[in-house]
Amino acid sequence: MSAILSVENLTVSYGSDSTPVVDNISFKLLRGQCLGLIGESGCGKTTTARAISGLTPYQGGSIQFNDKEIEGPHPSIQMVFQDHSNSLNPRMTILQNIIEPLRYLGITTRDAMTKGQALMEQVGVDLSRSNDYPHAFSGGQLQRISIARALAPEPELIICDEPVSALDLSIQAQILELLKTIQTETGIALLFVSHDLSVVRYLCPESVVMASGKILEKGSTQDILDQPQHPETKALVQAIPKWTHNQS
Amino acid sequence: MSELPLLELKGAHVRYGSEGSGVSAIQGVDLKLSEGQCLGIAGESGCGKSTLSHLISGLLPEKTHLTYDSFNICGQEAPALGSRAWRKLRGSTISMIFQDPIGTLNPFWTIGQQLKETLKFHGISTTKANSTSVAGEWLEKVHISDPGTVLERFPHQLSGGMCQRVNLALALCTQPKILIADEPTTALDVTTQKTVLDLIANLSKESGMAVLLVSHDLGALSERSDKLMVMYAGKAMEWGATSEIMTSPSHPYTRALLKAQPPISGPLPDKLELIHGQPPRLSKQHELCPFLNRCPSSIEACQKTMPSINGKSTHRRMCHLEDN
Repeated sequence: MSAILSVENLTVSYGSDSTPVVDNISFKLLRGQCLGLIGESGCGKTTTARAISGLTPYQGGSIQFNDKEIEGPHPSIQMVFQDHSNSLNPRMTILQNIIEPLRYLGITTRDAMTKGQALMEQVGVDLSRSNDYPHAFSGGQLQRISIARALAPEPELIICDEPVSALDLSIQAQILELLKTIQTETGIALLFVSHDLSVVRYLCPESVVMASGKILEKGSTQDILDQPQHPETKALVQAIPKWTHNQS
Repeated sequence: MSELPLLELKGAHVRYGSEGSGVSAIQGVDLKLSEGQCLGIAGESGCGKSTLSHLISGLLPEKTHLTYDSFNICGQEAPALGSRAWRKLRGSTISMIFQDPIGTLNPFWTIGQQLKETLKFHGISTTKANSTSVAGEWLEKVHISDPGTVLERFPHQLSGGMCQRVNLALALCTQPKILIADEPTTALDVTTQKTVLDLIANLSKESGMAVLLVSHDLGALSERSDKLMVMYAGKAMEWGATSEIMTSPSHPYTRALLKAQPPISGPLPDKLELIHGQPPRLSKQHELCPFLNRCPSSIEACQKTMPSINGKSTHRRMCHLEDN
């Protein structure tokens, strides 16, 4: 399968500080692949995600999407953020939020509305609530709405930055199932940024592990969990509380 | 480990606001915590776990409607809500650490000032030189490698993990008998989480301090707690030895919760089992099992009466289903 995204020697630093937050990293994401990006707070995973989606300028290296160098936001790359309460516009209804990206693609309001309603159905938000504002929704519902907004421009890649970290376990399961269904049905590629290895293992067969702005290792998520190569990955894996329960 | 109960609460009910329109956050919860024990409280947002930890630390707002059959701390009856007697009890007998490590520290005071104030208030060290050295020692105990520098720092100059260790030093420097840890590691990385939980476990082992660990993280609870209570909609659904609950959960809610978490090892399920529906409104007292409308295995009896408490003495639950 061909690579949809190819990150080469990407380097990002903030402000005048010359210490790079993301330091010369390279990885590829295949079409339709679900790739995990794992690491602790401050390791540079969110910066990487933001650089790819064009929200943060980068200083070195290249980001190629469909074999073309990109700089700045691209309609085919969409993002879902961790903070569901602040990632939607509070002064727009949820339907307006969902169809907002379509305005920039020259789609008529009528078509956009129809599409927005279809998306609401797809992500499981009650159509009767399309004129309600974000504050009236729970965290899980807001994350569904954010996913609908990300799906609106029919992207080829969605970057999910810790999309379930702020959610309860039962709601987390619902969002994971929703992402999995969307991914299987549409063949969209996912870059799934998370510090939760059990969630990454469930969704992503392959992963990249980051620490201090560098990539420590990449490969099958199961292998990373079973035989972490780098000492820092080992520490990360060992710190996860282990528990088993009767699945029956 | 002695079985002397340091904390005993029976038949607790908490309601915020007026009857009918308010929220009945806790609806009849019993709890017992013995020396050296770690009791885990598991549950999702709105189940009443934080209300419970605020109740025990006397931090509920004064207008809260609180009733209980009995509430004893170290064999003494607990002071009434809003009583000044709580000020002596909190800190010296019961200490707390909370979820937001930076927000719980005073942003205008250095770490040293905050530690020294606590030591002075509780009469642990009175002279200036002595309190600085005691404060430094406590920072060392929570594995802060450069206590001299950290004492001079303000909270915003430290990372979340460092701040939570400072909070831990603040909570423990009075050598309390009970530590209430309300989601202490939720905002931290897994490795920092491990450090903080290791520290709590070691200090509890050394001093016999009892720990009430409130968390939504089943992994952390299963590793750290001796006993576990699973709460839902203001009620305890299942409680007993942690290992028993994790390996053979007997309440449908606990089972559903455990299956909602993707496993970290072993075969991956094709689909996670979802808990459909919404938790019930807490505006009034439950007349039937609060999990009824979401329960995949409800039976006729569930539609008629509130289930009684049943099960083994080491593993209790509130459910009509036959125990299997």
